[in-house]
Formats: sequence, structure tokens, C-alpha cells
Amino acid sequence: MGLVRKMTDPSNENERLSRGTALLERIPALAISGEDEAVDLILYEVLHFLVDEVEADIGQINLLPRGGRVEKVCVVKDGRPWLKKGMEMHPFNPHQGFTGRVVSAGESILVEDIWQPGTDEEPNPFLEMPDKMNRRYVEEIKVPVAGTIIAPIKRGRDIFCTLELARYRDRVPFESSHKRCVDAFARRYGALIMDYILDVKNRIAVNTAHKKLLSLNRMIASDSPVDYTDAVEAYIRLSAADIGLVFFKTPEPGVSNYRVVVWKNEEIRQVYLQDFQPSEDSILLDGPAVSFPVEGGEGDLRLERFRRRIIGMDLSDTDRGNLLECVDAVRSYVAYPLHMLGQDLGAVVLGSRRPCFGKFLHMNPFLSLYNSLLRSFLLNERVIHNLAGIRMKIHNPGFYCLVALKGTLASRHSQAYNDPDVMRAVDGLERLMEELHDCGKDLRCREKKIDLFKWLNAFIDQKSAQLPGLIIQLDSRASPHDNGLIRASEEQLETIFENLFSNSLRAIGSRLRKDFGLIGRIELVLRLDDGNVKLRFADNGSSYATVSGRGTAQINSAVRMLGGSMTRRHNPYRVFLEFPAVGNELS
Amino acid sequence: MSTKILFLDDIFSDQFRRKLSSEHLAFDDGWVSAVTKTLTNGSDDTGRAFQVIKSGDLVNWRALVEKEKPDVVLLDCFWPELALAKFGDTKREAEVGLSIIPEMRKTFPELPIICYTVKPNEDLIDRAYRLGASFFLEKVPLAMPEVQSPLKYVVIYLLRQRNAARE
Repeated sequence: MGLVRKMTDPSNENERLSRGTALLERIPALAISGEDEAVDLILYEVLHFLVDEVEADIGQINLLPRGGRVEKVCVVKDGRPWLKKGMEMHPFNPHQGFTGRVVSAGESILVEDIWQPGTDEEPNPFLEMPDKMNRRYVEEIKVPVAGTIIAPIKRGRDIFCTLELARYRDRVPFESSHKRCVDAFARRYGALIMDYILDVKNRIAVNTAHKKLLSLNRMIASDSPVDYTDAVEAYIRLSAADIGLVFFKTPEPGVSNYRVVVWKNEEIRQVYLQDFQPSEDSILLDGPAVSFPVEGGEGDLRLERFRRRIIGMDLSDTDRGNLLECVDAVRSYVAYPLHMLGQDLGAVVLGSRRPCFGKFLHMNPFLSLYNSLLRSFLLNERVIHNLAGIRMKIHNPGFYCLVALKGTLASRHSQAYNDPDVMRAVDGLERLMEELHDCGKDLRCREKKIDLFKWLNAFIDQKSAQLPGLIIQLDSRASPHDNGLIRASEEQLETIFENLFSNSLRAIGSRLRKDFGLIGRIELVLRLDDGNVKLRFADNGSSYATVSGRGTAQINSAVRMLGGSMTRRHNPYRVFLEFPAVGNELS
Repeated sequence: MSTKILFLDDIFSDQFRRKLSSEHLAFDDGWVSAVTKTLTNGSDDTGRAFQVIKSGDLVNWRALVEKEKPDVVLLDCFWPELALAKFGDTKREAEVGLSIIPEMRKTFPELPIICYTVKPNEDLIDRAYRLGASFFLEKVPLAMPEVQSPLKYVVIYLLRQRNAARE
């Protein structure tokens, strides 16, 4: 009786509107952190609101954006978030089950019992699915429930999200008034909230693409080899693909070797294919036989051909297994090129375990931008590599041959050695070789003297503008006569400090989740001591879950490249960096 | 009095020799032969005899120095094959060669280190001296001992400097 009153009483409608308004007010505050966690918090709030409105036991939000990740983004059970990272809910198929019906009809649906056997006229579309679904999901989310409401959220006619609410089998079943309530929410707030969530996700996507590109940029500028696995992460995070293969052609001229980064769900591996000659119409060649993007699916010529070649290649069992596992799982794929200016640089294959999924696999604008810039970086890398090769060849044997020629002329053919025409030609050759040698050298990373005090001041000014919610303090305990000159490149320093700040932001975000009133603070203390520039870096965040702690390997490596050292202390967490000051050099 | 010179060059490493054709190796081998000859022919009046220990094993330089106890180290700056093995990048060839200097300087502070390469540039010379090199020479890959003889006088100069510092 109470429930019916709640759903139909006009005064209750006013209350619901007021609760809806309160939800809308809360959402922007939750988005402040701008990280993945912000999206999770908003989704939880929305779902919690809906579950409460219709007194459901389990609620789900599914995202179906074109060119983005199609996934279950939030599942709430008994008032608590159920979905966690690593649960592999990514391959959610929006074309199957009752959701498939909602997507094709564009209308919400109320199902009395999702487990009820169907009839010949009207089969139960859900019953075909449980065997292919994640077992834990079926046992904990599907088995206990009967009545379910699924409602679409539309942008025009395009359904880009569905809401799913369910009650346990032993509860009073949902009524049509509940469905109307969910429909009203979807119509009134759904598109607004979900568009906002997609905007936040897009903002995160831009940040991800930006960070990856900056990291690639620094790698190229610092002469370090590209981290291909890291470069592929943007495709994993920003596409709807749950399987992928990214082929990078190695830059050596005259050979056809490929680094292939493969991923399936959360696993990522790198395989090296030596002497892999692409077929005439391969996506690995920038030829007339292929027009990108290429769509395909299970059992097509390309996949089958690649499969046969992997089996026939001289690979370790692990590498072959990794490749075959991915290729065999692909039901549909879209391939994009990494080629540029007629150079065969490689290709990106975004795959899915779902058939006919091509339209979801196409790159969204952010990923497309990332892909374009990655192509340009790869071309740069190849140019630098080849120029370095030319420079080395000029160095040895080029200069050796020239000196040998001069020596032979001087010792055995003194007349020719003294002939001005001969020497002019030899000198011209030497000047040309020196010029070419220097061209290669110009593109190499060069360290310079940088005053770390001044550099950090400028860096922190920039960071403070980007992160207005944080207090960032730099304490330079140096006399006005001191300079903090160290030998480094801008890119190396950016790598170190961007990583330190990024770690601190995550740590502060982690503490903010428990302590909402906290104001994030990052403190840097810099001083010149015993011929070394010493820095203490600390924040008021708390530890957060990572695979390998605070991700300091890259910082450590960059610091060591500068002849410095890094140490860490815990409770409270602090990082100490030490760089040799230029004045401390041996001479 | 015999002066022992530890000659560290990738031309003595199999890893490097495998990469170059015999025609190219001939230039380097001719140069090595000329350097060795100018140091060991004993036909001058410098009053010093030189003994040359050749090695392409840069990774184990410490054990070599401890075993051979050289008076001077002659160090090639560029080690592309070692850079490839260590960093997967031949472009970091100078980084590999120069990287041992600070450690060598720290462990054997009095040991003179002479760096060399073909056509060196200002940046490389600056880095080598900054890291602790005692002298930098341009490598002239001519197979003529006369052209290489200044090396002998550089070695004598550095040993005199070392002895003067001891006094």
C-alpha cells in the first residue's frame, strides 16, 4: 500500500522532483577530480537514486556510445557498488537479450521473470545468453532476480545508454507505475546526466591521449626508445575493443620486422615478428589494395591468412599462443593505418569478441587524433633512426675510408697528393661528409644547463594554473648567489616532475574519497648542498592501489640518466631527489 | 721502466667485429697496428717502454683494471653494439663508452684516462672532461705509426702530472 502511494501521490511527485534536482546539484561537485573515479561516483549516485525510487535490489547502467567503450559502467547490489575493475564486464553485447529488444524497439520493457521459459512464438531472449556470460555476474546479479525494468536513454533516436533495475525473486513484482517512473527519469534527466558523464569521460580521454602523446614526445626528444606497450594503452582505454593487435614496423631499412602489441581484456603482451613479409593486400602495406579503415570479422581472408602465418613462423610457444589466443577470439574488427607519407609504419586492429560490432569499434575523435599524432611520431622516430644510421656510417667506415685514401695518396702517390685539383676534390668530399655527419647530430637530444630553481618556479606556475584546487608550495632554501644549475634536457625534467605530480594527484584523490574537506597540498623544498641540488617532494595524499606502488620506475630511470639519485620515505610519503650541480663537475 | 696501457676499444670485441665487413675492419686493424707499433717499437729515446693490453670487454673493465693494473687507460668513446645490447638503441653509443669514466675515476682516482674518437665534437669532449677524462684525442685512423706517435708523449705527460701530484 505504501509503495503504491509513493508512486502515485502528486505530493510525492514534487518530492521526487526535488530529489532529482538535488541529484543534479551534487553531480558537478563529484566531477571535480576529473579522473575515472569521478565517473564511478556520479554513476553510483544516479543508480542509487533510481534504485531508491523504485525500491529495486539491483541496478545497472550500460553505456553504448558509438566509437567508445560499450560496457556495463555501474552495477549496484543491495545499495553497494558491485562492479569492480578487472571483472571483465567490457564485452557487454547490446544486441542480445532483453536489452537487445529495448535497443531495437527504442522502448522500455518490464519483464516479470527473466528466467521464465519462452514459447515458440515468443522465445525468451535472455535464456540463450547465460552460458556465454561472465559466470560471477550470472550467479550474483542474474540468478537471484526475477522482475526487471530496462529503459533506454536516447539522444534523438540514438540509444546511447540503458538503465536496468531488478528485484529479487521473493519480492513483490514491479508494476507498470515503476516502469513509468524509470521512463520519466530517463526522459527528464537521463540524456542530460549521461551526456554529462560522457563529457567527463571525454575529458578523461583527452587527458589520457594528451599524457600518452606527451610521454611519446619526450621519449623521442630524449632519444629513448619508444615504449610500445605504453603507446597502445590509449587504444585499450579509449576504444570499444576488448581485443587488439597493433603492428609497429621496425625502422631499419631493407628489413621487414614488426613489433606486435596484443591485448585481450586486461592482458597485454609484445611479440616480435622477424622477417614478416606482408601479403600484397595486407593492411601493413600502404598500397592501393587497401582503403582504410578496413572492417572484417571471424574467418575472413585476412584473419585466416595471418593465423596460418603465425602457425608457420619461427616463434616461441608463448608468443604464438598469445597471438593465436587473440586472433581466435576476434569476431569482428576494424583496422586503422599507422602509415604516413607512403612509409609502411604499421596498423592498429581493434577487435571484439562480438560479431558485427564494427560500428562500435571505429575510433572516436580523441582516439583518431591520438592515432594521427602517433603516426607522425612514428615517422619522426624512423627519420631520426635512419639519420642516426647515416651519421654512424659516415663516422665509420666513411671517415676511415677518407683518411685511408689521404694516407695512401700521401705515402704512395705524393704527386697526386700535392695536385690541387685532387686535394680540392678530397677536401670537398670531407666537407660534405662532415656536413652530413652534423645533420644527424643536430637531431639528437642535447643536454643543456638548466637552473632547477628557476625551472621549477616556472613549472609550478603552470601547474598551479592547471590545478587551482591544490596548494603547491616551493621553498627554495638557497642564497641569492646560488644557482641550481644542473645538466639536463627540458624533456627529462618534465618526465620527472609530471610523474611526481601525477602520483601526488592520485594520492590526494585517494585521501579525498575518505576526507571530503581535505585541501590537497604539494610541497617542494629545494636547496644547494655539498655541490648537489637536493629536492624534497611531499604531498598530503594517502596511499592508493597500484600494481607496483607509486609508479616511480620512470622517474628513477630519468633521474639516473641525469647522474642523480632518488630515494623514498614512507609515513608520510616523501621523495628525495639529488642532482649533481654543474659547479661540482670534474674538469 | 715499462708503462702499461689498457686499450679499450670495441674493435677488439667479437660483437662489433661480426657487424663489419673485412674491408672496413682493415682500416681499424691497420690503425690499431700503427698505434701498437708506435708505442712498442722501442726505437725512440723517450726512455720508456710501453706494454699494450687490448680488450673489447667494456662491461668487465673493473676486473680488467684490477688484474692488469695499467698506468693509463685508452678509451674509445663509441660502443654502438654494446648500446644496442644495453638500451636497444645504437644511438646511445657514446653514453655507454663514457658511462664508465665516473666509476673509474671514483675507484681509481689517479688513473689517467685518455678518450678518443674519430671527428669528435665539442659536446662529446665537454662531456668526457666533465665526467673525469684526463685527455681527449682525435682518432686519426691512418695505418702510419708516425702519425700516432703523439699519443706516446701524451701518456708521458699524464704520468708526469700524476707523479707531480703525488709529490
